[in-house]
Amino acid sequence: MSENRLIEVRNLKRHFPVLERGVLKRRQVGIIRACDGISFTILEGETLGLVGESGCGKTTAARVILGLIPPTAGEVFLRKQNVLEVFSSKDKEAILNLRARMQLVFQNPYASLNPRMTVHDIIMEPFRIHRHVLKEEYSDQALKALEVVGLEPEHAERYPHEFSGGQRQRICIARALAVRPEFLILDEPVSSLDVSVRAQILTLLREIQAMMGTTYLYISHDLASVKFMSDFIAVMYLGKIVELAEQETFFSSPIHPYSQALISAIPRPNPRLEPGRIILPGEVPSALNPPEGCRFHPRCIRAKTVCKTKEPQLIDLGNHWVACFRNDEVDISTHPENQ
Amino acid sequence: MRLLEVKDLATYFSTEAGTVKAVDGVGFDVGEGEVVGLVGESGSGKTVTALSILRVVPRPGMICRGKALFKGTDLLRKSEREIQSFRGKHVAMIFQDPTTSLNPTLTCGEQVAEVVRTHKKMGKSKAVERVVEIFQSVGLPDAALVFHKYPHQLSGGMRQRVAIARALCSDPELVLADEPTTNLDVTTQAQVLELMKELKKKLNMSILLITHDMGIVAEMCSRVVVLYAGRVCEIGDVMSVFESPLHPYTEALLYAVPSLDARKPRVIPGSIPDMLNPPSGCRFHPRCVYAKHRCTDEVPQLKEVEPRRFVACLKH
Repeated sequence: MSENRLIEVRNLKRHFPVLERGVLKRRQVGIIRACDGISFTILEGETLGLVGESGCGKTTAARVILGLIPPTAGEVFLRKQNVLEVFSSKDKEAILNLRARMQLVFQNPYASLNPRMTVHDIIMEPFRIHRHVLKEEYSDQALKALEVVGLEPEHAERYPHEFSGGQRQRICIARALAVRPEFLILDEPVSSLDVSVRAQILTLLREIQAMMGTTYLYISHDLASVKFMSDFIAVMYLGKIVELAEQETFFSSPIHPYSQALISAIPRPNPRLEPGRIILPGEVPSALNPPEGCRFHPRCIRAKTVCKTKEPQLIDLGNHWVACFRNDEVDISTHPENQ
Repeated sequence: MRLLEVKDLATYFSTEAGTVKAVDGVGFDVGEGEVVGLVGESGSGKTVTALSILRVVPRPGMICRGKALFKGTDLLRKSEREIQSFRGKHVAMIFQDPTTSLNPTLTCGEQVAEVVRTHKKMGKSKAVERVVEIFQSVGLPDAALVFHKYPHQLSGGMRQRVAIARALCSDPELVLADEPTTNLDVTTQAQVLELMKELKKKLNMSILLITHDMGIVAEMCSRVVVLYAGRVCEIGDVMSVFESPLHPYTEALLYAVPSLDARKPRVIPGSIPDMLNPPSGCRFHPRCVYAKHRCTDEVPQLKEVEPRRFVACLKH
């Protein structure tokens, strides 16, 4: 089973110190625990959907995993290789090799393409950097990449501004796939796109995954698209994972109160449905000052005394992990890990 | 007589690159106490329609033809001076981004009080009382404290509540809400939608709810107007439109969105047209699975195929 694990994240933390603005000296007045100890595994060829609202730490997690910012603590493994160790070393070649195996598609296709480069140059750039293919083949491979994402060879000579949002995102995907990465992080890849175009891009991503066996980390706040894309789902709240389950299980029987609220919050395009909605009181607290005990307790209707002082650990209920002291099926508060 | 009747509205933008016919013959109506959804994607003309009704279309946009009858009075024929007594008073607007629609140099209380005093002719202290009252009714915690806060000191959800308070403080009969929850987190969106439902019930307001989210339409609206590339595709009550969409774009839109309950989304080929050079005839024809030859030449007119059920498609 462990040979199947492509990505393993263990207790990943990333904290940001908040410094006071002074003239002579600046001291730390607080700390933002953006990502505060998250762990998960993604099997080869599968997709983990990482869900959460703004400030939950999902984008920070992505940036740390890719070595774009250093971690505060924790480890990331790509197969057996210790990713964060490589990124923090001075070994340029090892870093470059690793980068070719882990790529990223950003949210905003309008900001992530160099406006002064043609599509051809944009897609050739990874070849030039990684040189994993013979120079004579660069152009051919670039055109192949365009084909995979449903663009035509004539598009290669155009500039990004000549394309629509959806097409630009295809270019970004082609660029990310040019080096045939094993792992692709998709950070809200369709949020900036029109609704009628989203399905095109998501369907394309799934087709590519089926064809190339790429492993995805799909980050989004849109649960409906997460459902469509993911095999497993992890929900983040204020820097922690509160629930992790298989996609079907998650939507049919979510256990954590926050997950339940998230699912019920989504408006359904069915006028006959009664919303029966869970409305969470208040707002997401600041990561600068998270609540004591369970970070969700101030907004949780099921909070009891222990929730206010102790932080629940993520416990395995049988391929379904939940961090909550209240659970209708199992009394987790008596679980040895939660003593 | 309906509260709002828009007839053949056309607003064009003349740019160096050409004329963008952002709204090109749009007509619909909103009744008293009704929530009507105005649905479309980018380039559909939904925001420009709302801005046209309020006569706040930015340059180089110009309203070229049409009528916007509010209780029988054509807002498009009023002078700038006359329109000011409607704007904010009888017809108010909530914009998509509360960060840019609130004045960053005034406290939340001050800017809403400004609106109250302009339209209600109240003294300063009375206005302050009224503002605190409204802040409470939109669910702002510690309303008296929020009064003295600047917009940047509040979260997105709270800012949007202030924007809603500002829109409602003069008791308008009609509220134009342009994607009021799009920029908010899902759980905050749920709160704001519930708030809007409560307020609508309490105040019997009419709302023109502009959105691209069919889920919000299904939940909030009784009728829906579907726009595509500056024109109306379909109008009808929400139940009928969702259960048996008549226009191919409406149908495609309903099936294209990944939803929690549904099966796999159905991809719509192509993309939204370039509004500088929209397709001839029916603007949706390049992406339409039912398109025939005539769709390239003829512009389909909006026809009433059943009572209060309209569609602009050569299939009907």
